Amino acid sequence: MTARRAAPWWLLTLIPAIAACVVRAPYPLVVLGTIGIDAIAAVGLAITLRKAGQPSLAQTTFMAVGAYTASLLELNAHWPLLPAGIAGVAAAALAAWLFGAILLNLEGLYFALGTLALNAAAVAVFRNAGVFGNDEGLQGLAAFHIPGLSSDQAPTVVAWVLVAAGLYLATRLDRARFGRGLRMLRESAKVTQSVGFDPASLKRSAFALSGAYAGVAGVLLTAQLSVVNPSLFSLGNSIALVAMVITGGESLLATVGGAVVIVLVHELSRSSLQYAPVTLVGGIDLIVNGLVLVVILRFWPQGLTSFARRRSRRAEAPVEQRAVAAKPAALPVAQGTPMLVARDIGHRFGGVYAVDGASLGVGAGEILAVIGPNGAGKTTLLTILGGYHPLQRGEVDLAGEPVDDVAPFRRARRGVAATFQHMEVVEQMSVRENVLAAGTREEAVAPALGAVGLLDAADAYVSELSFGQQRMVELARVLARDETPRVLLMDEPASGLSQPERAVLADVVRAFAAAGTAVVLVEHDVAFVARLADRILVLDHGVPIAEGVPQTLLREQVVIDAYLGSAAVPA
Amino acid sequence: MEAFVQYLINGLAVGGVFALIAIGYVVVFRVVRIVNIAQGDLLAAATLVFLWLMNAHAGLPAAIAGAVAAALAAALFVERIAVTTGGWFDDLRAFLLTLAASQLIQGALLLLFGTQYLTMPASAPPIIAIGDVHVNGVYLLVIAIVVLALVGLVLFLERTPLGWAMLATADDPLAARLCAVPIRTMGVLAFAIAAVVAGIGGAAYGAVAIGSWNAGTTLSTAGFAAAVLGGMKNPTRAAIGGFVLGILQALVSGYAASYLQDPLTFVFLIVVLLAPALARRVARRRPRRAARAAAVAA
Repeated sequence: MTARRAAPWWLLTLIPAIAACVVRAPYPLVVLGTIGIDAIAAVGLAITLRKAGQPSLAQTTFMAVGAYTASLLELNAHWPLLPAGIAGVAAAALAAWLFGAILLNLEGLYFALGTLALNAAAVAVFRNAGVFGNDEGLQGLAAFHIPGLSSDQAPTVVAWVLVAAGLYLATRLDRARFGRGLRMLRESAKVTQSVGFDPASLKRSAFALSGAYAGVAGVLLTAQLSVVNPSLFSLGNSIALVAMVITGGESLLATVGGAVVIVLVHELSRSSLQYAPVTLVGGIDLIVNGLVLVVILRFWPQGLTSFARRRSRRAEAPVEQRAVAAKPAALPVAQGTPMLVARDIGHRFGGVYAVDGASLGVGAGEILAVIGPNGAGKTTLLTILGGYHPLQRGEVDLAGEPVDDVAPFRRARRGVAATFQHMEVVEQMSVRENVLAAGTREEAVAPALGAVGLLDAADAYVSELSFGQQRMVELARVLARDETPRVLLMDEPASGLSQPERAVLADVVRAFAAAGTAVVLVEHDVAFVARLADRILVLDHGVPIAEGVPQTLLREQVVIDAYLGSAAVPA
Repeated sequence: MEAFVQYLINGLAVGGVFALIAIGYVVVFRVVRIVNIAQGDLLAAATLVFLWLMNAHAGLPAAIAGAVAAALAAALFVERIAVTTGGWFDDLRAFLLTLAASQLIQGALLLLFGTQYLTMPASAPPIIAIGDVHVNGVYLLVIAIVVLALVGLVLFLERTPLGWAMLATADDPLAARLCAVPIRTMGVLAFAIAAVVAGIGGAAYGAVAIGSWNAGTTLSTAGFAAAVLGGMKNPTRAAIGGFVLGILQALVSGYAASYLQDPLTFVFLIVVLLAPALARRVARRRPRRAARAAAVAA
């Protein structure tokens, strides 16, 4: 792995901007400008559709919000071009944030249909409310004036400069904590919460961001055409944007390529019908729009870049190979201080009690193991402690403060770390990104990977690792947190691990305990638990049946009965 | 009062059309697990063909037959595009394919009928007096037809072997196939039923409203909102959803402005989609710890 920085490929989109400075013919300039504007809207849509996994059909609606806001401010309040444009972008982002707060409660298909209904509603309002000028629309923004450029050149040049800026911003965000959070969220809401992200706020921010991109596109569109009317923001245009994003696949640059192809297809069909009646042009346009989407979805549903994705893994700075294995920093608490206390926890699924009256307490530096036969309610109990199931009955205190109704991501921020039974690692992210997602410090990654023996695999995709190695990624994620967790919840961490990996696991758990972390671990392997735990709690049918130190507890008859079944009672 | 009753009857007639669209969604969704967003476009196509034939003095039976045939052709076209031979796949992709089909149908309608609005040929409508309120008899007829179609569909699904085969496919495609039910055929049949319903609905809609090439999107969203009220599974509740939305829209366009119908559909859809989750959240809320302590003390 070389230490090459990723090439600034977004600079490629400055080529059309430069070309637009040279070309003088109006028609190519308008087409080029349209491509740039659609590319900006499509890159914004890609953030919600590809990164956050939310298929929006309302992207043109937020373009309309930007366009109408800017035009109305210029027409009625006589704002200059730039402030009016900025206000338009802000209005679009705000509208997306507000509607996102409602619509993002919906999943997948229902979200798509909600945005479709929003688009239809918005078009009806723009067409009929007098302030928006009905079907004729409003006079758009006054044309740009850039010294040395004609009025046809200026908007096109500005559009493509903004395409480059938009791509740059999107890639930066993708690699920042925000982008990692979004990619985690697409695969697992649980793991995203476990490292302290608020899923709802992540999705809302992504949606508002794509709304801002739409706002930029909308403002540019009215400046380019000097008019703003409802037909520019129809459902059909939203569908075309979706087609561009799907064509682009995972790559944002390819999304711009999608915009090029799709706008050109439309322009070719339009220019071949130059003298045809309006209905013919409109009808053909709809048919072209539909056909483009059918062709893409039937033949390249994963987008054109899906084949190349694996090979174009980006090179990053190599992990320092001589990194010292991480040791969690000591917490400023006395060993034994009560960290996590749960009283009388009850939880039922339908009519079945999974947990019924379980209580536990674990102090700083203590390792508590919860064991019990299958179906005893161990995982449910741990899930409740992490906050992933809402608390139905009982009380949970974290370091002396009640956390009964505190969301999982807030508990994570207050020092609760977790590893899960059905391993939660993000397969489509590299090992390094998975680990980095837990905290903010790049320099914490190498020691954490060193501690679990994964330094060599830092840039591998998690999907390429063995099962045991994937578990180690989860462990490294806890090690790389900015602060030593106060509580560590582990659900069957040893299952599927080899003997050496178990030794690593035991070392890490002991290191956390030595630093003052209170560890609760659920485990099937009684021998493993007996060597590691300070105390053991035995659950059966959701009820605690015994508790004590390993040496004596495991000899108690009630525990043996629960595991092996009691001898038949003579009649 | 007279205006209110008129809006109510208007709403029932249009709501009945929404109900028929909603049932089209339910039948297709249950059998092939696809949300067919072109359902409203099937109805728009049927409406235009119906009105065109009525204006050409083809007679009512021929016009209705033409409407059903148009919807059927459009539905089989959607089926070809959206259902691949592999059967059930990614629901979002299938949905987007029906969306593409919707664009194709709208394009075809625009090419065939242009941007003009079609209406029923002028004739004196039969006026029926209910008390001191005078009602257009066509509306009552439309309501009756819609209710008959609804009842017929429910009976077909629940009382005939073919209906059972469809419901079996809906519940478990694999098990149905093991029982020698040809599930691809059942999928085509589901689209065909949705089309017949849309054809009848198109004729009914033509009798009380105007036909235009782009009515489909509005009708699709309204019908979907109604179908969601039935959980996309229950035809009766979906039909009720259609009637409720129809009446609400008639009242809004009567007392406020007719262009608020689409925003109303959006609000209705959001409320229907989010209300259950909200209700669950409220129901699940336990008293806070301080409140519980006070209750124990008391």
